[in-house]
Amino acid sequence: MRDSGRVAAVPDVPPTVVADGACAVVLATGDRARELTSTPVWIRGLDHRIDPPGLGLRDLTRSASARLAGEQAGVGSSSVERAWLHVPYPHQELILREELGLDGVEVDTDEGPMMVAGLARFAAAAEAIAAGGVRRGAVHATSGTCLQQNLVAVLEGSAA
Amino acid sequence: MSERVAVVGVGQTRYAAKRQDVSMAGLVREAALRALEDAGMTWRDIDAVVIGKAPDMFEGVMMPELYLADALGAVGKPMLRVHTAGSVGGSTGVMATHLVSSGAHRRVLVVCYEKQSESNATWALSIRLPFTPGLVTGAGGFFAPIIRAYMRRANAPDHVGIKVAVKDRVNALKNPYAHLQIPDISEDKVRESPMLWDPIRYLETCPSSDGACAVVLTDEASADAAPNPVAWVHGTAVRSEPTIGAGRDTVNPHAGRDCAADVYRQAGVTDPRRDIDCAEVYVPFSWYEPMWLENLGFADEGAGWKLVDDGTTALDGDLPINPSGGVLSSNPIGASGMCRFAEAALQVRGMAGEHQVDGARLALGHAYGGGSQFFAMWIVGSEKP
Repeated sequence: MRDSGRVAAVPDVPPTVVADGACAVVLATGDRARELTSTPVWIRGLDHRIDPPGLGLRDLTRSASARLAGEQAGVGSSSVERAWLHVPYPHQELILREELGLDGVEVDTDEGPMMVAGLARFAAAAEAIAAGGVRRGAVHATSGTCLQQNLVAVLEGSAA
Repeated sequence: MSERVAVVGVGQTRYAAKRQDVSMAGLVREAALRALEDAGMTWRDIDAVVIGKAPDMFEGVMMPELYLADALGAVGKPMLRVHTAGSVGGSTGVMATHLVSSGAHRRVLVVCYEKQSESNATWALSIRLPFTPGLVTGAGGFFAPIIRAYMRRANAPDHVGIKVAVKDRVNALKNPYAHLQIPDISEDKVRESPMLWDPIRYLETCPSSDGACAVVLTDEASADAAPNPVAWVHGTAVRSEPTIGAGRDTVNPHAGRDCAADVYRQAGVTDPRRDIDCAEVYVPFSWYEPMWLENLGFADEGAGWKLVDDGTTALDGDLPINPSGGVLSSNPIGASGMCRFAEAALQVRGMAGEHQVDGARLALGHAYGGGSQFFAMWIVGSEKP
């Protein structure tokens, strides 16, 4: 991707965006989850919002849908310790930090292949939380041009 | 405990070969606005939007939900796109039902569409898979040998497919939205039409249509306040199986039987032939009516064609199948399953107009897709479940 003429001027497009890969996650309801594992990771909040497609209709330094999804999912009120963000282009991390209220929060932006990245963020967060290093985390996934559509979730580990 | 869910609004566009008067956005808005009007609602009342359509390659618009967010009043709301090939209209309805039954949303707008005039579906369906011969025959070429296998297995006479083709087009004359309007339809006319994929004749196949279909689904409180009669969702089910596989019965797919058993269990249906008043079944090629009658348990294996032959499935029969004219009369692919679900709802609401089945209280909506490997069904009723 770095070699293609169109994006050569962008030095830090994550190379993993154009990659092969798959990700799978198993979801279960409360009691079943407790049967399956001693360290279930709970989805405490989940929201998904979309903005208009037209670039002229949006302030591209902001993302209204990310802010709304973050508020509805409860990121701001939940004092997350870490956030796993889907950031196809590096400047979007700055926008998302502001919209999701992640001041001082550790951010992980490691990417997966484009259409896998959202679920891969969930998987990375769930693994870290299940391992006990993080108690509460935020997960983000995006679709469309310039952060048009955004999903935000809050994940939490089982109380010891 | 899951929430009760009801269909409180239905909207359809006129189905036609070419809707050049509207863009894709205009097409989906037409259906959505009619559904909102039926529901006595405005865009403001909708909590979330679910959209379904067939593969993006059909029109070459990738991830059309992004482009249609504005047109469907979804800006600032949750919007979800569902994709399961030809069954997508059905599985979109099921997905949207779950959004309400789970308590995630109270009022959901569901819209499915296809604009086949801007597409080349046969090209898009003729993907050359590695290590397999290229068929480039489209859907008809895929399903014709399966139909042959059914005819041989059931020892079904050749005229059964022709009878289905006539019956659905006669029904379509009573449906103002139906694409095909053939007033002089007759068995001779069907028989004399060109053989496309033996044994499927031209008039035994579905048209290519532009169109959209929308429904508004709500929780019980909103449904109790609806201005028009509502259809209560008594059950939903989805099942899948591989396209090809050793031992797979393509004539009577296991996934279809499992899907029907699941939706009947939820709706308390123990004898579908007795309990269900009418059904909208996904029949893109005439012979799929008797085949699905067996797969759905309306007839014993090998006996589905007899229900066609003796007129049971006609509009004035004991078990009307596709009173709207079905996929054989209108086929906006991505919406075709939703049309089945919506028409089943219209029947139990008593709002099907000239193609109303008298006294319909419980109806089945059915969709299938891919190489008859994806199934989606719902049962709707005039009474609360």
